[in-house]
Amino acid sequence: MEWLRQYVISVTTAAIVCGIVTSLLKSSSVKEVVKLICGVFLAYTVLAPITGMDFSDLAAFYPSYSQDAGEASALGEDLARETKADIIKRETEAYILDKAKELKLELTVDVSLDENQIPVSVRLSGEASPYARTKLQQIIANDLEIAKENQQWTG
Amino acid sequence: MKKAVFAIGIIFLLAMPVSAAQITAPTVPESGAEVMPENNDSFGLGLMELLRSALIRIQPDLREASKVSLGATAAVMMVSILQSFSGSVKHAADLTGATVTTAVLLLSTNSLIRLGFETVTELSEYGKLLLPVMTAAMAAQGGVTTSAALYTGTAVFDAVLGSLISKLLLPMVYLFLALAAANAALGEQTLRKMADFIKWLVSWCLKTILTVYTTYMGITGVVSGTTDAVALKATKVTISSVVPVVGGILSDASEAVLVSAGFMKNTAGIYGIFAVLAVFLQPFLRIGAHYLMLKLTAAVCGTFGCKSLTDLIGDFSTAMGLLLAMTGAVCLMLLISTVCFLKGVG
Repeated sequence: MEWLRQYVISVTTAAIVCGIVTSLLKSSSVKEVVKLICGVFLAYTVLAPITGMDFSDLAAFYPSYSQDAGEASALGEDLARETKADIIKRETEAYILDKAKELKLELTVDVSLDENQIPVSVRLSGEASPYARTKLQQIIANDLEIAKENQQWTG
Repeated sequence: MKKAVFAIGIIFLLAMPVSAAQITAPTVPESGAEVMPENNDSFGLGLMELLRSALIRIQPDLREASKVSLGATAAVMMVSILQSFSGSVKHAADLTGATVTTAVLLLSTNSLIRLGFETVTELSEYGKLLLPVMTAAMAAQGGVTTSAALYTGTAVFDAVLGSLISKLLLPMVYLFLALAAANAALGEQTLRKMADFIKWLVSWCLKTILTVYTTYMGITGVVSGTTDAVALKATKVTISSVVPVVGGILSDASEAVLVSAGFMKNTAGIYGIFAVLAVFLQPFLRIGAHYLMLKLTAAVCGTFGCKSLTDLIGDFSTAMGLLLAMTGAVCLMLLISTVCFLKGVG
């Protein structure tokens, strides 16, 4: 801002000098000529630094903003997708556990989702009679469309 | 009813701990922390609290502005007495009066211009932190295209306005003051047209940028909103094509994510609006107090019959007006963008 201070001082000083010079002269044709010269001098003092201003970086806007915007919205999308996947996984597991409880089974369940967040496979662990196991397999296949070959039982 | 809505919001928030922790508005900058309302639940009450805190803190500035005004009035009164003499004493009185009045006013004006510049910078910096948060929250709510378009528009216009203010408009205010002082010193209207041109240029730049920006935001909101609404509808169609139980689970999950993302977006947006206003309001009121005092001083000095100095004081108040317009424009831009984000998808 030093240049600005210098600029303001120079404009004000030039004006004061012009004011003093014109006030010293009595009304005559000489005074008119001096006023004209003072006007030209003042105009030059005011305009000279403006012509030298550099606005090149004003034009350098800003392809990076588009990229930043993409990144920010992708972050939001990812958060929503992760959260949604988390909810779907938990709700699907809760549904299976609910059905298992109706069959008097105590299981642990781990559901996997595909890229469209549709449940595609499940891992079940815990004790179950062959009847209860078959029954639960059928329920999972019918209600959740998880094929029997994608239902993995352990324990 | 309000409590029930709030409770549902909290339940949805608890249902998605990861995102809830990540999408929050940036903390209010230190300069606005003092006046930031503690209660953000009610927008109206928060606004009133903010305004009250800012108004309480403005009193020392009013006293300061009064002192400056009294100094300027005393100077003009002295010059008016000297001007009653004729000849070279009158010219000398013009010159001295202009110098003394400028000296009296320039000190406070300079610090206010600096305050205006700092406020613009701080608002701009806070906006840079708030924008990605609002963009992410809106994208999480399904407004992927809209949020990216709003982000890009706001960031570009903010950068253009910030650069214009710091590189062109603020120096122009100094130039305007220099021309006004020189004009008063000359005792003629030689430089009046040039000063008027600068005033017009600064106002025109601000008005044009804000008009173009609001037009852009309006058009973007409609065009991108339609795209996002179509995408959301397509998602619903996909869900309805799946077996009922899975479809129900997917639909519940989508709904929960949309509602909780909307809740987070609103919370972050309202906090952001308060934070922007907290940073903006105090400097705006300070500059505004000086602006009004200078207007009053010019009106009082007009009665002494010293036109050149009255015009000079009027020009100083115009400079304060331009400064108010600059800080106001940056704040308004941030508020408009936040409201556009809050408006949501479709």
